[in-house]
This record gives sequence, C-alpha cells and structure tokens, in this order.
Amino acid sequence: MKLWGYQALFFLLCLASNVIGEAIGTATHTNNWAVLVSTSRFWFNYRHMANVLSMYRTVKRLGIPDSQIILMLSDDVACNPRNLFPGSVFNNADRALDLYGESVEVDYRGYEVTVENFIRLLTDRWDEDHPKSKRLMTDENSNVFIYLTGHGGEDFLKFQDAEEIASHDIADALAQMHAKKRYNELFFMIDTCQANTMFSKFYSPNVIAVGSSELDESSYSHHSDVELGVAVVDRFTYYTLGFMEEIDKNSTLTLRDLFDSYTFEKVHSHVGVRTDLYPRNLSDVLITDFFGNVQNLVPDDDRVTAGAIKKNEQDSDNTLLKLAKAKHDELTKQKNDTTIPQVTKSNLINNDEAIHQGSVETYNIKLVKVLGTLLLLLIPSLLKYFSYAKTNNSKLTNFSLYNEHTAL
Amino acid sequence: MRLQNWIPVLLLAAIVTAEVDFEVNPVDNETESVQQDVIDESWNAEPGESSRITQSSKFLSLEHPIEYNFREHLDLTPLPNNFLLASFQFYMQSEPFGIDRDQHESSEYSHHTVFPKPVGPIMSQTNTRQLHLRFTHGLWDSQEWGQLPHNGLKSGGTGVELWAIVEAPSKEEALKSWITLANSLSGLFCASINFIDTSKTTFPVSSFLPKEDEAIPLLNQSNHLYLMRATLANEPVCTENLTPFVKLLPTRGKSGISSLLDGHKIFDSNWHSLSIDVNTVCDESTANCHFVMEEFIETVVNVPNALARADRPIPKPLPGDELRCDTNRPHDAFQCFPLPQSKEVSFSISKLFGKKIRGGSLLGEQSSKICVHVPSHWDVMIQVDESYFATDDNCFDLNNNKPHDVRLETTDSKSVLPSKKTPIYVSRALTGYGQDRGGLRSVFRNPSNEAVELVYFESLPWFMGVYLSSLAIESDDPELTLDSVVKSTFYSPARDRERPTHLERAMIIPPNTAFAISFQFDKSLLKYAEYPPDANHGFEIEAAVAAVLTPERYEARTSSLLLSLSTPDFSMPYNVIILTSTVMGLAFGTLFNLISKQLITLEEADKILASTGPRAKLLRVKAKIVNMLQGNKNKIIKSAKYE
Repeated sequence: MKLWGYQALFFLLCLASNVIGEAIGTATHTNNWAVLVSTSRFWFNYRHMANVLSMYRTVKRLGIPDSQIILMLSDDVACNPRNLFPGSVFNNADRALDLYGESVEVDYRGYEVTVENFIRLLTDRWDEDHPKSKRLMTDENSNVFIYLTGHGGEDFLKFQDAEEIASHDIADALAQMHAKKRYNELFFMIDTCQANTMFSKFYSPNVIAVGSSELDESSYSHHSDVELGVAVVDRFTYYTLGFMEEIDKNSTLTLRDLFDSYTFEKVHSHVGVRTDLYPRNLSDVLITDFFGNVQNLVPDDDRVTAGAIKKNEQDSDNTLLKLAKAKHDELTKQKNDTTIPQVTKSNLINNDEAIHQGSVETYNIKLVKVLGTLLLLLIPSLLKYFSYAKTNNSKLTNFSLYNEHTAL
Repeated sequence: MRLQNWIPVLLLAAIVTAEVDFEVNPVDNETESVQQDVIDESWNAEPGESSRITQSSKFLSLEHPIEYNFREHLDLTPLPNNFLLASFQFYMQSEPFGIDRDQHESSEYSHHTVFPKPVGPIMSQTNTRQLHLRFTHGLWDSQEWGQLPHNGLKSGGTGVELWAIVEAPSKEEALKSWITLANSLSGLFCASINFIDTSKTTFPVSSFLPKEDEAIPLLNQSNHLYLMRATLANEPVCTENLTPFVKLLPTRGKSGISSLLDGHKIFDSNWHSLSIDVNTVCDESTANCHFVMEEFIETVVNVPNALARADRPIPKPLPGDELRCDTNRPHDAFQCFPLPQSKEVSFSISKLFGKKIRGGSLLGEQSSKICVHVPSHWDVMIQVDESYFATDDNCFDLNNNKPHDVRLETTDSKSVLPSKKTPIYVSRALTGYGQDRGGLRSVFRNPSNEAVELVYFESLPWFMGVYLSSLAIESDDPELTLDSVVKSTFYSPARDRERPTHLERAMIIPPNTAFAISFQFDKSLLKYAEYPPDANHGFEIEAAVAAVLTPERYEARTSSLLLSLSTPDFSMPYNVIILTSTVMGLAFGTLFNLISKQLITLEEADKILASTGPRAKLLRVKAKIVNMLQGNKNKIIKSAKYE
C-alpha cells in the first residue's frame, strides 16, 4: 500500500526534524499563543484599539492562527458612528493599511474586557459553558506573548475606565500559569504610562518583560489623524511595529535587536526590559519565538523505530481491518436495531405550567376598578365597626381590672 | 509517527465513502441490505462488478459537476431616493443523521459537505431544534421604503436578537441548555451573546412561534419544547460578526456572490441585517433528521454616497467647479443654488461593493443567481469578459468562475418598483423626566382600510418597575377603549435580577386609526458593580415587536430606547467632594474642639481626676456594691423575721 510508504517517509521526516532541532538547540516550544488586550473604552482612546489591532495583524502575519490569538477589544471603534471610515481602523495618518481588514476575530469585546476575564483567561478558570475559542489553551510547550495597552499608573492599569488591575495581580496570575504548566516562555509587553512598574512584581521563571516607560514617566502617542480627530498610535507601539514590519517568518533577528532599537529620541520615554527571570541570553532569542508560529514536530514516541513499524505493519493491517469491521458491525447494528428511536412532532411550545405561573391571561381593569371601589367603600364601615368594638372592649377590660383591684 | 494514528483517518475515509453511497442511492431506499452490500464493496476496494460503486465515485472523482444542497441568491432592489437594497441569501442543508441519543458514536459517521461544521454540534449538544439569530443595525425607513424585506421575518431589532426552540424535560433544563447555547454562539459569532442570562430571557407564548403547519421534531417523547428569546440591544455589529458569517458558507467568500461581502461596504450603510435560521427537519418514518440553514445578509446603501466614497474616501464638500448649480438662478463663484440629485443613474455593483463577483459558487444543484428588481425603464446588464448580457426577467445565473459584474442604468432613478405598504406603523418612546420614574408610550397607526390583528411583544429589563395599573389609551376617538383594542394580555412581572417584565398583548387595530398606549414605571437603583463602565451613556431598552397576523404575516420592530438611570458619580468630582469634606472636617473639628473645650491647669486637672477619674469611679462602684450586699443581707433577715 502506497500509504505506508508515505507514512514511513513522514516518520523519518519527523525524526530528522527532531534530531536537527536538538542539534541546533532551538526553543523547545511547539506552539505559539498571543493575548492582545486593549483596556480603554471610548472613542478618544482610538489609539489603544489601533495599537492592539496592529499587534494582531503582526502576529497573524507571522503565522499565529486566529484560533491561537485571544484579542480583547474594549470598545467598538471600527463601526463607531464617529468613525469616518466604517469598518476600518488605521494606525497611521496616511491610512495605507486598514487594520480591521476583511476578516478579524475579536474574542472579547466591549464590556467583556474586564480584569476578572483577563485573569480568568490567563489562569484558565472558567465555567463549563465557556466556548473554546475564548480560552487560552496553552500547555508547557507554549510560548505566550501578552500585549497590554491602555491608561495606567504606578503598579496599576485601568480597564474600561472603571476598574484597575494591579501589578501584583498579573504577577500572581503568571505564577499560577507557571504552576499549572501553562507556558514554556512568556513575553510580556505593555504600553502605558509608568509601564515598567507593571512587571516589577513578577516572580515566575521564564518570563521576559518590556514596558514603554519607567516610574513617574508618561508614554506618549505618536501622531494624530486630523480627519479622524484622534491620535492613532502610541510611540512605543509605533516603533515596535516599525521594527516588526521588517521581520518575516524566517527572520534571524533577536529580542536583543528589538530592545536595542528603542531609543529615548524615538519613544520619548525610557523603555524598560526585565530579564532576571529569563534564563536565556537575549541575543539567542529569535523574535519569531514569540511572534511567529513555529511548527516543530515532535514524534509521539521517539523510541519507536522504523523497523518496529515495518514489523508491525502486517499486524496493523489486520488490526485496521478488524477495527473497521467492528465499526461497520456497530453501524449495521444501529441500522438494524428494531428499536428505532421515534421522532415525534409537536406544536406545543412553551406549554409549561411554570411559564404561565404568575401571569395574568386577561388583565381586566374594570374588574380591578370595581373591586377597588368596593374595598374603598368597605374600609370606612370596617373601621367604624372596629373602633366601636375596641371602645367596648377597653371599657370591659377596665371594668374587670377595676373589679380585680377592688377584690384585692 | 505511529501506525495506529493512521487507523482512524483511514477508517473515516472508509466511512465517508460508505455514507456517500447512502445518499447517491435514493432508488434503493427500501432495503437496508443493499446498502450494507455497498459498504462492504466500498471498503474491500473491489471496484468493477457493481454499478453502484461507479455511481459513488461520481462524488469523489469530480468528473461531474458537484451538486450539494446549497443555493445562493442575490437580490438587488433599488428603493426610492437612490437607495439600494442588496440581499444576499444562502440556503444550505446538512447530510441526514440518525437521532440515536444514547450512542454518541453515531455522530462520528456524519460528515459535512456544505453545512457549516460548527453549527451541528452546538445544535445537538444543547438539544436545539430551531435557532434564530439576528444582527441588525440602522434605520429602516418604512414610510419611504415600505415593508421590510421578507415581511420583516429576517431582521431583528437593533443589536443582537436570539431565539431558539429547545427540547428539554423541564424548564430548568431548557434554561441550562439555553445558557450553553448562548455561550457557544458567543464564541462562534464574536459577539457578547454570553451576556444572555435569565434576567434577559423570556419564554414567549404567542409570538416567535413557528408557522402553524410547521411541527417541531421531538426526539424524546417525554420531553417538552421550550421557546426562549433574548436581546442585547447595545451590541455593536461589525466586521468581526460578518467574518464568521462568511466563514460558515461553503464558499467562504472566495467564490459566488459571497465574494462581494466586505465589511467596509456592508457596514457603510443606512441599515444592515445579518440573520441565521437553523431548523431541524426529521422524517418520522426513518427517524433520520437533517438541518436546514438559511443565512441572509442584507444592506441598504445610499448609491450616490457609496459611489462618491469610492472616488473620495473622505466625504468633504464638492469643490466649487464640480457643483451642479441651478442656472435659472443667479450663480457665480460665490453663490450657487444646487440642483437636486440627478435622476440619471448608472453604476455597476463592482463600484458599490469594491470588487467583482468571482463567478458562481459551482457547488449547488442550482447555479448562483442574481436578480435585479426594477421597472421596465431600467437597463440591467451582466458583464462577463468585457461583454454585456441582458435577460427579460433581469435574473442571471452564474455558471462559470469568471468575474461577473452587474450594471444598472436608468434615466429616472426616482421611479422604482412600488414598495409594499407596511400594514402597521408602531413607534415607541420614553416619556417623563427625572431619574426616579418615567413612562413608556407606544403609538400604533393603521393607515389601511382593514383591521389589523397583531401580537405586541415587549420585554423590559427588571430595573424598570412597571405599573400596569397606569395602562392608558390616548386617542382622538373617544369610543376607543383599552378593552376594544387589547383582546388579551399575557403578563409575567419582573423579578429583580432574575427575569424581565414580559408583556404580550393580542391587539386589534381598527382601520384608519391611530392611538397610543402608555404606562408608567419606576427606575430602580442598581448595585455599584452592576453599572457598566459607561453608565452615563444610558441603558439600551430592546425593541418591541409587533407581529401582524392579519391581513398578512408581517413583523415590525420599534427602535430601541435609551433609558438613563440615576448613576453614582464614579469619577473625579466624587473624589474631590470626599477629599474636600475630609479637609473641611479636620479643620472644623480642630476649631470646634478649641472653642468648645475648657483649658485648665495641671493641678486643677489632678484635682478633678482625683474626684472624677477612673480610680475614684472604681472606689465609688466598690462602695456601692458593698452597700448593696449589706442591704440584701438585711432584707433577707427581715423577710425571714416576717415569716
């Protein structure tokens, strides 16, 4: 059978790639994930949406599929009535590149972008109904890139202009990720005022972090689009993207090159890099380790040799047939099953008692009015009756008390 | 790679072949044994002797055109005032599947042809028999444009609207499935549909029901059917929602009419609506079911604006020399009385939608179709390879994969096909002022000479405390009373944070009448965490639905409302007030202490302490206790003496 030939070839390829991989000593990760978060609401924060969408476009261009990108967009700027260009978001006043493009998958949008959801996403603690496409399903072989942008301060980042995430929260969330083996290496990038304080509390291994500005320092926007009337991109992100544009999937540029490209003249703030938690030398870490999608194939079991396969081939052939036969039998059994499940049809929808409970089928206002007037008429007479009875009673008790008293 | 890894793949291939055989043999439907033979033959891979095998290879070899259960249709209808309604319609059907609930493996045999893969599992996992999803935004001008397309049955209120019929043993189970369904759809359609919870869900009793002749299959006779509905009125509709709609199509926007679907054009419109309806259709005799799905994407564009957008992306005023001035009036470089828009219109849809149609889908039994609905003085042509073609009925079949373009020309764009008048006009508004109470007023207008029978469905959030006792009718006709208009009411009152107010009224609107029905409500206070980040924006109240039953089936929705609740001041002034109060309090407190307290010397204080200090107090208490004890002793002695 031809297929077996292909399979053997494939196996050899796998083995070869593994050997080569080990020889070169490349990263041990097998998949790449990106978490891209814009945290500010409202139209005038257009640039934060543009920042995050530029990053989305970059990681997508470098090969991370939509299913492995978690995009959190805190407001809808693309179809905002104030947007002069419906369905488009631009990160440059020349409007050469539409970031929203023809296909974009936003995983969390609007009110869903909260501190709680962000931490739940990182630590993967959801209820059972949470859809898979909105989960960060990483493992110990995943390289994770986290990008945050918004308004922040010392040790906090504002979400939606309503709540804050503290640097300790993110540090603890990363620690939990590490404990749960949810990443191999993690690259944390943040563009906000006093950004470097946000990763100052990190304590989990294999984390590398970069921020746009140091303590007591603001991050600035790069330029505004006069027609849109808002700033369209932040300086730090602008120059990061400028660097990224020159990178393709086979690029050999390293994180050291990226960090060296940031200067105070460009960014107007001091970019901070934290490497003490990261064991590897930055000039050995390819940018595509985090921004690209490396498909290193690792064989299921590297002890299995080609010979063993050949030996097993005959047996497997039989097993295959047996399995197929079993499956087929099952199918025919199902088909021949005399107790074919019955399909009935029904027109009775929402006929449940519970739904009608507490509901008024015919709400008769006239009846209510008549009853109301009757009640109103009754009240004075009732009151009269009661007050009369009350005086009588009081007299009676007084009298008896008096009697008792005199008796004593 | 291990050999075992290949087994399921091969197996699946075999099974797929087997299943394909089932379908292409409609003639042999009476015997199962024949089908069984086919399976055996197909995976023993001994072709030749059986004609069925060759028949089945028709599917796999692609020698013949593919014929899947897929149909697509594009309707272009010019509307008055130079608007154009483009309606993209896609119909698809899944392969039949068994309904054996206990053996889930049976689902492994099902495969997907044109029916979108993610939809089936969601439907079966939540036991959903019917699913209806609407994404709508914009204003449909029913005065000018007449009835909504498809009698209003394919468009929702502003935002996202979802209703589904779920099979479940009880209401609680149904709600559970419903929440799961909403969460899954939120992942699929990139919208916050997961915000649907019990406080937004209603169980409609007389609206949103399937047609009378349409019975819903029940897979387990002991179960019941539950219809649930919820709306998210503040949900934006944008490219990320269109993306999954396109990805659900077998053509994925690469061929057929779906290649025209571009977010920039669809959402640069006055009104747009995306809808999906999935039905389960079962055959009672064979216990086989299949899904039927209809996907509609509709948009109303202003043609001159859209064409201008193609030339000038930024809508700036025309330069002076391009203005069309009325030459009968004074005109020079400084003044110009502009002429009304030209009636002469000619445009091609590639200019409107930014690209040409990439041929037909070439997937379905019927070829992709484009129909333009215009009166006779419009010229409609289809362009293929620089040559133009026209047909009598203005409908075109796309039979190849060459780029197509449709051209519309007319000398009088004012005259379009007469629009069908809507049977009823319903509008709704908030009345009153202030942040503690308000009113809701619905105006019904029946301009026709026929009485209109309808069900008016309203679902109001729990933070509107409705007073049904204040229900009143306003009309010029004094004879018109509530009882003569409202035939019956279904009312399920709201419960805080648990369920919304649900009102359904069966009404009859007399001919040539207009009246308003109003009631009052209280605005509740929310808990701090329940306020959204932009609470000052207000809370969107979902549209009311008027489902007309006679004279024709039609659904109209009101616009959504923006209700402003009293919101705490979350921001700066609040902090400023607190800070100022603290500073004021500190200053005032010190001053007050200084003024009201007496200053004395240390000796005086010692003296006072000696008489009033804690030590003195303690001594006094001790003396009291001693006294009391002695007194008690005396009493006891006294009482003993008396006895």
